[in-house]
Order: sequence, then C-alpha cells, then structure tokens
Amino acid sequence: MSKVLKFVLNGMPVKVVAEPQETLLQVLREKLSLTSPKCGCNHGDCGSCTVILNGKAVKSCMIIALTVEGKSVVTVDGLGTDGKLHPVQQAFHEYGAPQCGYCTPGMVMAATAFLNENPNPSYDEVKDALAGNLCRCGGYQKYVDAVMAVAKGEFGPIPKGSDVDV
Amino acid sequence: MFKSVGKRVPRFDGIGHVTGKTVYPSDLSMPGMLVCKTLRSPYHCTRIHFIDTTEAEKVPGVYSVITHKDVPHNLFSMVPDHHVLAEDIARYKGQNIVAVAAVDKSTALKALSKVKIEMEELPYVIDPVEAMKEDAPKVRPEGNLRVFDDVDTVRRIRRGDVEKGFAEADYIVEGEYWTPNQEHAPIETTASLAYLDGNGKLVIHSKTQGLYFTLGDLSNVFQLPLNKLKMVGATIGGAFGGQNSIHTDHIAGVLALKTGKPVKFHLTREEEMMYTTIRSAWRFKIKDGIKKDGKITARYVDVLEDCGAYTELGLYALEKNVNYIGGANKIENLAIDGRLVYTNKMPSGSMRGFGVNIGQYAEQVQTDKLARKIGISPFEIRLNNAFKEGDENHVGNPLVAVSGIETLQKVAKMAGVELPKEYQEMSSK
Amino acid sequence: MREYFYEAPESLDELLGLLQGLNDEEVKLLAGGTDFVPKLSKELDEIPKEQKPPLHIIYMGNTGNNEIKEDSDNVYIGALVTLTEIEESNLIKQHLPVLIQAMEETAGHTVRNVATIGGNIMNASPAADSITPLLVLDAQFVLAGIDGSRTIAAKDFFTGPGSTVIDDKEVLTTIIIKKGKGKAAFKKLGRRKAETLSVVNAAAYIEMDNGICKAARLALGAVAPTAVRCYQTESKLVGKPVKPELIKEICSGVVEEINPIDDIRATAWYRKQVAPVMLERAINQACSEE
Repeated sequence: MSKVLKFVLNGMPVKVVAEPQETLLQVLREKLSLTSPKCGCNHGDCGSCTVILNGKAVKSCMIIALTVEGKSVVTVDGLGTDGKLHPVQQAFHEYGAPQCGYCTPGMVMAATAFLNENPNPSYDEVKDALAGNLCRCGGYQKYVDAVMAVAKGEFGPIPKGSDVDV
Repeated sequence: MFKSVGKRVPRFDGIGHVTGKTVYPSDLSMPGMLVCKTLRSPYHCTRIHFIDTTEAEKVPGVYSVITHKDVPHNLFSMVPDHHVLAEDIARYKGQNIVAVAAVDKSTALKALSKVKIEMEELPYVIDPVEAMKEDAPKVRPEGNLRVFDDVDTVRRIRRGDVEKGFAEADYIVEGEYWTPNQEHAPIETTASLAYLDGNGKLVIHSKTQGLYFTLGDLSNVFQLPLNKLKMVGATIGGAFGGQNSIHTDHIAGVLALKTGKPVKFHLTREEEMMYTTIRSAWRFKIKDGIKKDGKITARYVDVLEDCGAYTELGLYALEKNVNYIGGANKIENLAIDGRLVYTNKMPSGSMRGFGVNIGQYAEQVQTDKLARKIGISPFEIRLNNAFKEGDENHVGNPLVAVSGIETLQKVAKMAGVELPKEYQEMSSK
Repeated sequence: MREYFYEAPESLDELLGLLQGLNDEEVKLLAGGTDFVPKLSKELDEIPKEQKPPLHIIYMGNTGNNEIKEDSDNVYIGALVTLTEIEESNLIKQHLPVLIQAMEETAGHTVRNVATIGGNIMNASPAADSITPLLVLDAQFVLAGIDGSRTIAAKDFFTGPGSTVIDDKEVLTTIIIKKGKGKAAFKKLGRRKAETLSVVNAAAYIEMDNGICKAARLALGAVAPTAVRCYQTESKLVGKPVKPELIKEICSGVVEEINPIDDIRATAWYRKQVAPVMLERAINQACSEE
C-alpha cells in the first residue's frame, strides 16, 4: 500500500509516492533519480549508500523510506556552495583518495557528518568514523589523511549544513 | 626533477567522484526499462530434464522468459565452453538456467517462481585433488582434466635436465603450497543495460574491463555482425579482473533483442559474491636441488589449478603461471608440469596478476625455505640466483633491462639490512 | 507479491490500539530497522517460494520513549533511544559507563545513529552487545499493554534466539536500571575491530569492599541460545579476595554454564576457549576501576 512521502532533500521539499517496503536508498535512486548514493550491498555492510539524515550519517539502505517523513536528507549533491566544493570533497580530490570512486559519495557523507560534530578529531577517531564505509580499491589511508587535513583547516572552514524544515 | 613522481596528482575523474556525478553502469536507467532476473541452479551439479515457462509468461508485466533455446549461440567466454543459459546440465551452483524480463523486480521474481522445472541433483566434486581421481564425478563430458592442444593433460615446460641437477645438489628441499579461491568483491556489483537503438542496433552499457574482447564474444552469442552491436564502456565501481568475464551482458542483450525494450540486469551482492567468476584455487608442489653455496641446481614444480566448472580465463592463467613459476632465478635445470582440473564450482576468472603472483607466493616461500636450509639470508639466496642482463628466461626469451639485483640491494638498504661486501658489489649488468 | 502495509502512530496509546486491531496479520514493530530492513531487502531479492501473509510495518519512531531520564535511584532509558544517544549521554557516562563501552563496540557510527536500544533488546540476538551489560546491571524492562504495563527483569526476559516473554500486543517502552554501588565492564571479541558482530562478549558487575568481592553479576553473549547470566561463576566469586590468579581460575569454570554453537563467525570449540578469557578481562576491568 503506497503512501505519499514528504521530506526535505538537499534543502528542497520533495513529495514522492513510496511503498512500505521501499528503502530510502531505493526511493532516492529509483524514484528521484538521484544516483549519488550507491547500492553496493543493500545490506548495511558497505556504506556506499551513506546519507545525512537530520544531521547524522546513516546507511540509506537500512532505512524504510516512509520513516523519513518530515525529516531532512542530505546527499553528496547537497554539499558545496557557490560552485565550490565542500572542504571534504576538495580534500578527497586533492589527496587522490577515490580510485574507482564508487565508495566516495558515502565516504564524503560519513566524513562530513562526523566533522560537523567532531571538528578536532584524533586519527583513530577518524578511522572509527569511517569504519562503516568499505573501499575495495584500498584508499583508506588517503581518506583518513584527507579528513585529518580538513580538520586541521588545510581546506578552509566547513560551511554550515543546509538542513531546513519542511 | 620529476613533474609527477613523489607528488600528489589529482585524478582526471576525481571531481566527478567526490561530487557523486560520475555515472556507473549500475546507475543507468531508461524510460520503459525492464528488469532482468534469473533462475539459477540450486545444486552444485544439476541435470535439467524439462523446463516449462508457460505459466511464467502469463504473469502480468512479464515481457519475455528465455531458456538456452532462445540464445542464438549459447557458448561464450575466451575458451567458449561456458553456456549463457544452462542446457541439459548446470555444472555449478548458481549457474543461470532461465531469465525473465519484466516491468519490475518483484514481477520478474514472481514469474521465476512460476517456471516449471524438473531437475535432479547429480554427484559433484568440489576438491581439485578428488576431481583428478579415476572414479570422481565427471564435471565435464570430456573429463575433469583439460587436454592441452588435443594431446596431453599436462602443460610442460622443460629446460636442461632436472635429474642431473638434482644429482649435483647438496640438498633436496621440497614444499607444498595451497592458495584458496578469492572473490573480487567490487563495491559496485555487475550491471548491464541493453537496448535497441532507433536503427535496430543493439547497444549494451557494460561493466566490462575488455570492451572489444566482450564485443567480439557477444557478437558471436547474438549472431550479430559487429556493425549491429555497440558496447559502451564506463567508469566502473571496481573490477579487479572480475569484469574480464561476462556475467550479465549476454543475458541482458538476448532479452533486449527478444523484447525490443531496454533491459537492465543488475546483480545483487549475494549473486556477485557467490556466482560470478573467482580467482581459482591452486596447489604447488616444488622440489628444489641446491648447493651449499646457495646455487639452485634444479627445480621441479607440479602445478594444479582448480578451474571450476568452465574454462573461462583459467587456461590463460595456467599458461601464464607455468611460464613464471620458476621465479626470477637463473635455473639451468627446470621442469614444470601444469594441470588444469575442473570442479563443480563457479568458473575461474582473471584476478589481479592472472595466475602469476599466486605462483610467486609459493615460489617466494619456497626460496626462503632454501635459505634457511643452507643458513644464508633471504637476500643472499635471491642474489645468488638472480637473472642478469641478457640471460634467457625459463622459456627461452632473452631478458632486457634486468634490475633484480639492484632492486634487492635497495630493498635491503630500506629494510636496514647490511649485505656482505660481495653482495653489495653485485650487478645485473 | 506479498502485501505490505505501513502505519506510523503518533502516540503509544495509538500504537497499542493498532495492535489490538491486528489479530491474524503479521506485524513488525519498526524502531531503527537496522536488523529488519536488510532482512526485508533480502526477502524482496529472492524468488518467492510461497504466498506470504500481508505484513504490517508499524513505525514506532513517533511514539515517544526516546529520552534518558533519572531519579534518585534509577536511570530510565526510553526504548527508542538510539545507540549514539546513549553513547553521547552525560547521564549514562556518569552512572552507567559500561553501556558506553558496549555501544562504542556495536556496529559502526552510521548504524548506531539509527539503531535503538529497544530494537537491540527486542531483536533478542544471543550476540547482541547491549544485552550482556543490561543483564549484569540487572535492568528491568517495562512492557506496555492496552490494560497497563508490567515490569520484567532482563534475566527473565529472553527465551531463545529472537524470542522473549513479551506478548504480541505489548510494546517495550522503558529500560530501568538501578544506580549501583559497584563498577561494570564490557569486553567484546569480534572478527574485526569495527562493524562486527560478537564472537563472544562478556560483561561483569562487581561490588568490592576492602579487596573482597561483595556482589557479582556476570554475563556472556553469543555462547548459548540467549545471552546468559553466569550464576555459578558469580557465586564462586562472592566473598573472595579478587586476585588475578583467582579470577582466572574461577573464570575457567564458566564453560560449564555455556552452550555455544558453530556458526559463520566461530566454532563452538573456539568460543569455549575465548569465553573464559573475555569474562576474566571484564572482571579485571570492573575491579580495577575501583
């Protein structure tokens, strides 16, 4: 029995018909044609579907879409301002962290949500924050180094999130 | 001095990756696109007596249900012995038997549940050593050992006289080494999108690593001239060798031809891990003769590759393996026997090193064993036997730009190992 | 295809009322969903074997019970509090730091951000990381029903993998934990450091007086059909001076109280080897913090 789902996606209100059994990932990819959250396992293991839900990084394949009613979802498409990359994106790019790039949107979201809450993390805290995101190419070192560089301010201040209410 | 060496160079496609704008094959969709799902063999070895798809075709939203009879030419892969859809026997668990194209996933799965299929589980063999025995269940009609060049089940490399070399040795050192199967596990699972363009050309967006190799293979499967088939490659979410084999392109293509509509076949994580090609498992038995001064006088290697149920790229991996298993050592007396055995597992594909590095694992561990036997360092044993400029390799090719000795010297330095003077002064020249 | 229905009641009463009306249907109470949703997705990827009855998914996220509170004796954790909220709670840090230890080792951040303590309990996995600490903290679970609520001790709650004493018209609302005098510790052995399920986990609560163990509650997870309290081992510890050698010796006997199985994460044999070690480590830590 499908229902109308209203939530805020990257700062814009959206309205979409969703089935009870559909995940947030499915709705984003298949109904809203937003393919930046990737489907690597559909089982909550790989983290490539990570998005920010009400300020917290979550795996969108583990969320029933209808439960995000009235909430705010940010994908990697919602980052960056005035044509400029978000510091996390810039750092990942300059550090050469992505290889095939399939895990990257999820990594960006996990790292961004983490830095919003922990602007001065230790190296081990960053590793812990990204532990739910698998990179089969083996770019972990560069991802962690890049997040540390952002925390040290190498890529400028982190802009405030674009969360708005419905 | 260098423009790029030692410096950070952003990837040419890095911006697309960090902004999520890179489009991967699994991201693609088209208006009116159908979804493909397949019925797979539930057993390691299955005899298929009878398939009736009538009820499946009646499910509303189903456009096509195909079996091997619908595939123009049912054989594919580098050694074309793998069936697009299984015929009378499915030889590994998860082999595709029936494929459906329907409006959505749940409709496709419902249709598959309506396929009437009469199957029988046959005896199977999983262990490569068991598979070589006379009374082992037959994986393939021609036998479980591959016959090379229609004459022999052993791929042989011969150089000098190993018996003479063993007689000259002070010690004989033997070792047996096994490596397991390994899944490539790319984060993006395999996906294909196939459709007919406005002029009837079949277009396939593919995750393939070998676009033109796949093109040739598929034009045979579809029995289409090359000007009627277009393969579109893409940035892909990891392959690691696994996309040198075809997993979804063939079936998506046949269904697109059947229905005239775009068809997407996207594997689940479970399908990717359990039913696509893998790195084969190997066994190496090495017997070396060595003198007290550290010179290898003879080496015999017995190579066994567990190829799975179809040859796929296993033959290519074995050919490469036997060429390199002797190692970067100048060995005058060398004999290598390579065998390729079929078992009821998913077929062997290429993976990172294509049979070469997997042999080097065994060879390097064995070389350390030799060093321990005569009480010299792992560096010295390798330096003693290293190839030099102009040497012939084990299969008779002259070697150029050899730098094995210099590399080892540098490694020793980096590891903080001080080599004896005569080793420091050695050169590949 | 199976039919799915979705409801998101706005209060506990509405939720309990809904449950009264669903008598022959299958119902799934959804909290964070981190266990249920992957299972659902797997089911939806498989060729259906039979026609399954409709499933009513009832989302509990809007029904309250999402706060951590205290009074002079107890800490009250709402069933819908997420694992991250527990991890970040000052109240928990002050009174029940063992829960933070356990949360930090459960799955990863992205899962803990949605997974709830109530969900982890109701899932009733023998390997759940929150259950062993709750057992040694002697937690009480408040179950609300249409005619009022009842309280069940954690130690009497679990009956098997995935099953508990709860009635299908009841809902877990609150976890009550007494502020104890002793200290507790949690130790987990997984196959990896992060994002992993327990091969064995252990929790210990110890009250000490002048180097003598006054009270002890011990629990092991992933070694039996439910997480288990280790009563015999507890009784061996009480009244004894807590010395490392003695703890080691007492813990070695815990294999008599467990009944592990072989599964994809480890063999029963291995679990029997490591369970005493994990328990010993938990006890040592609970003692050393005095």
